[in-house]
Amino acid sequence: MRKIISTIAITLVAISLFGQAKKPTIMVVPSDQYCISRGYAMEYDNMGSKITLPDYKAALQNDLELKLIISKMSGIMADRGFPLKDLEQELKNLATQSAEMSMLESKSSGSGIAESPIDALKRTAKSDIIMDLSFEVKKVGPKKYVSFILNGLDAYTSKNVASAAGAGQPSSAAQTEILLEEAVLAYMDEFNGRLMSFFEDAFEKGREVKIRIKMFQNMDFDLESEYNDDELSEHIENWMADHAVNGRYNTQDATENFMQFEQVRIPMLNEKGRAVDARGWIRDLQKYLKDDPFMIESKLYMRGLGEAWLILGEK
Amino acid sequence: MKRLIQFITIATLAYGMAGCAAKKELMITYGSNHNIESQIISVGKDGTKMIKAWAFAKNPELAFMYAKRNAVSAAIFKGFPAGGGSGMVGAIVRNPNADTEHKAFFDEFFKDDGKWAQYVVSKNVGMPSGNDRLKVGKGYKVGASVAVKFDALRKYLEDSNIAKKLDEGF
Repeated sequence: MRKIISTIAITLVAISLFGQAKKPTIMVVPSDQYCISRGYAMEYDNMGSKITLPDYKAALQNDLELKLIISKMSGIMADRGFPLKDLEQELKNLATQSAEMSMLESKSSGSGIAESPIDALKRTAKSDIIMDLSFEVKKVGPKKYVSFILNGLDAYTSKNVASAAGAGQPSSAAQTEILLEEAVLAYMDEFNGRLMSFFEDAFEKGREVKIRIKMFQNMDFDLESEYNDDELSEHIENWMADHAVNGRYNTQDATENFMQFEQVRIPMLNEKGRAVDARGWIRDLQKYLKDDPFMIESKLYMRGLGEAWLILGEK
Repeated sequence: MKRLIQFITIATLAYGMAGCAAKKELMITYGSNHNIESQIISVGKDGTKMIKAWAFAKNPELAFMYAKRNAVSAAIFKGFPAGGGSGMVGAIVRNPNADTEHKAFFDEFFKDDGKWAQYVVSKNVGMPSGNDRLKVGKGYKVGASVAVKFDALRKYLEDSNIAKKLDEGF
């Protein structure tokens, strides 16, 4: 009897774990315009040309209005089942992580942690969906009002998946903090409505991802090499057509050295009911190319939930 | 012959009266969403929406109650256009056939002493007057300014598996 109960319990846990798609992470990031117009910017010389970049750390440390808005938005999103990643905390974590990485070593040999230059580059604050935020308290005579722009950007496809923008009611009595709170309350439902449409579309037509096929240098083959009378690029495109949801994908660009696929719709769950991301999905192509007649080794490189690169030639 | 004329007259009158009664019934059903006039008055504080909704009835008291119920109905099935300093608010239930698919649930929810009343608070002191209380034909059209407990209502419908959660499937 005990065995039956434990079997049922394990099955239920397995179903609940595998029946769910990978949940995207969301983070509020002040827009470049917001940071740079308020002086939260860094400038550096890139071989003669001046580059201006937003300084998020300075913005979050000095701008109380920004923190108020982010805090309000976080509360609303957590209530809807999407606790936001906190940019300030993420930046702090990265700083302490770097310090710890440089100090950590093994007990027996004193060996440090292996980290390639690309690993170090990947240690940045990132999320799957960025809530790009701009706002400004404006004045009309004695009255103040808040103009508010919120864009939800898919970090991989660069598409604007949800947005809400507008200006609040002018008021001469209300404090700035109250106007800012009102601005968030006024536009978050509209934003979440659009975000929900984006999720519904992903569940219906598949998650939209970006796939890049690249070549390592000095290989004795390229994407124009022929296998069974067809070029390698044709074989790859046929594989994409067979495996993308309803065969939906778009070949953005292709040469003998690279192929770029956009708007590739991959299933949210595989046939076993397990969650799928771009890396997991393209791994099947990696296996396909490793087989006869291609016998091609490749390196799978992940760029988050929605973008993966397959670099042909070596591991 | 006289009896035949009497019978036809009575039958015609009865048919006309029945038609009128059916029309009145249609005006007050929660499902007749096309009937609802509602708009956002201003941005509500955490979890509420400040709404003005209208309804018709034979007396102002009844019209006032229907107007409050209409505000809840609009929040569930229709949403509100942008206005009053607020952006557009979409319907809580996104499935356009939800009212028929979950008819038993909504019949219970929207009955006169149903749970809908828990999610709406009137901002009017007493009965609406002036332009919010109009005599239309033999009845009244009343506009009620209310606070709809939007977040609590959404949560209740999500927990009852009527509305879809934002993170459903993840």
